[in-house]
Amino acid sequence: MVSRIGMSGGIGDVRKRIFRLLKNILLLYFVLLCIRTVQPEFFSIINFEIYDFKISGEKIAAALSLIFTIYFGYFILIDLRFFLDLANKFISMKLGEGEHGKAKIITYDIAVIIASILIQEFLTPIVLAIPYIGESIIKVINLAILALIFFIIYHMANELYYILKRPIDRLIEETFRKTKKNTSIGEGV
Amino acid sequence: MNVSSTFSLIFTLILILLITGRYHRSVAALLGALLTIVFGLEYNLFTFENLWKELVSFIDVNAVLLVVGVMILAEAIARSGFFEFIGLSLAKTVGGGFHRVSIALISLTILFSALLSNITTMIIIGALTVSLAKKFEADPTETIIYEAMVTNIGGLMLMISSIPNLIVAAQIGIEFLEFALFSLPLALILSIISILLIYRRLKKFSTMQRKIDVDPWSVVENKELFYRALTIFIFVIILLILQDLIKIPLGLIAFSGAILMLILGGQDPESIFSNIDWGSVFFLTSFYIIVGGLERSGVLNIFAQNIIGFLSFQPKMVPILNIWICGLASSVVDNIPITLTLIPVMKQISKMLNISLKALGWGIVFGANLGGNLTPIGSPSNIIALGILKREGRNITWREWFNLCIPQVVMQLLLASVYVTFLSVII
Repeated sequence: MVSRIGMSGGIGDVRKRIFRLLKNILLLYFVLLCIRTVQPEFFSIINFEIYDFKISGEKIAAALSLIFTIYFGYFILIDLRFFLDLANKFISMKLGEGEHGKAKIITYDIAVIIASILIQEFLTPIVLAIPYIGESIIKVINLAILALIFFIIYHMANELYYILKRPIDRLIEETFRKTKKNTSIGEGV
Repeated sequence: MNVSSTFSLIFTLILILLITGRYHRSVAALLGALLTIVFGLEYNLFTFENLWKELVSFIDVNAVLLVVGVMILAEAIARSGFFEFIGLSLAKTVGGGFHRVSIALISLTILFSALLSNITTMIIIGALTVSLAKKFEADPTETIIYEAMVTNIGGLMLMISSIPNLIVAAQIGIEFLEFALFSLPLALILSIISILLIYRRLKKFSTMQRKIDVDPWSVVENKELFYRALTIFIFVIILLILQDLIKIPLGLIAFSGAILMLILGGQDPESIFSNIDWGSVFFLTSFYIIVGGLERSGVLNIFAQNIIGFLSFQPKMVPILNIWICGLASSVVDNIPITLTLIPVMKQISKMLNISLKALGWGIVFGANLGGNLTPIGSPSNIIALGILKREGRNITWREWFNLCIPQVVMQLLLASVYVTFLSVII
């Protein structure tokens, strides 16, 4: 799965994707900022009606924002998925995938989530006691733990998908076969 | 997050580590104990001044001494060659085909596991079975699986037969004779039924008849040490039986017996110590701290309240439910944490629903021992049996295990449920 999205490119590929991801995020931010800035000046003059359908500058701005979000969002999501899969592979490597069953890997994931929550719970009062910077540090720690939990949940969902994939495929195939059989009987009649 | 949520998370984390076997069980329990101490201090459940005093108050020293003492005694008697001697003598006396020898070995497994730990029993009997099977040119697979299964029936027989028995006896206050009086009848019934069922199955694979020409005394290296170890062991068993009269704590009797064995047994203490399962001792001690933390944080109280709410309509069903909950849980998690966690919960349930605590305790004992047979990882003896078979080139799948064991285990749990209902009436 990982090689399919081109992870085999190595560190060069990763670097290229980081830059592309940042570039797309910044471009999206810039375009949305531009639309928001010019909206009161430029789009306010647009206001016309075709029968009952009213087109206002506000609606045009919203539509443009949506188009740009979808366009850049698509490329952002592609690269984001690449990094999620990278994290996923890293987690699998750390948890020793291959040696254990998928169900066991999921239980490890749950253990890591619980351990992260406990670490956060343990660190919060200690770090908060540090004067001036305590609150900022705990924000960073919380964000890091949140990101880790997000990656683990993604990994868990992936594993769950592979567990459920085969029975679901079989069910769909079976349903499809039965439906086809019934339809062909109907056609015969 | 509040105290009870944090301690519930710690307990869940440790259970997951135990189920998955990611780390050695004693390491997982030590981690749990450390987390209990750290969060106990953070939430002011303990204070730095009284920390050690509080932690020691969580540990049942009597149970720990009893476990260590029995382990040392069993190791010393096993090293004298006593169990191999008995095994070979019996196999020689029985004679006939391998199925007859298998039945003798399975019966012996029940007796040995009543005195030894399941691990030691399985190692001794497993090795004996493999060597005898080679003599008969027979397949030892089913015999070894059944031996692993009956170690857990033998584990029911006496108070010293398994760690859950020792914990329940020490914490609920059941004496040695009382324990035997109530557990032996069930253990004997289960043994007889299981042996009959196994005999019917093994008879189909009966092999040619061979004569065993090995002298049983050949496994005893030093006859003097053999008799010394045996005398001390019998002496300690007599003291344990008389505990009700002499009023000395069980832990003290077993521990004194162990010291006596180390001094007078004539065996090298260093080699005895090196074979003791210290992991189990660490595990037990650490889990006492985890359960203490759960109790102090109110988690067990919440758990008990929920169970009471659920069971208040059918209080008579609690001991039976105990057997099945313990049995199912023991099939995937070690039975020691299950026992340690359930005892304080049962103490509360007993008070609130006015049910005999001993009846609830028996439910834990039966479920924790018999449930181990449900899966290949449910009991250490199962794992050892599978290891022996793997060395012999036989890989047993979970399905094969289920086919052989599930019908018998379900029958055993059903019989235990009937028996505990009877006990709750007469206790």
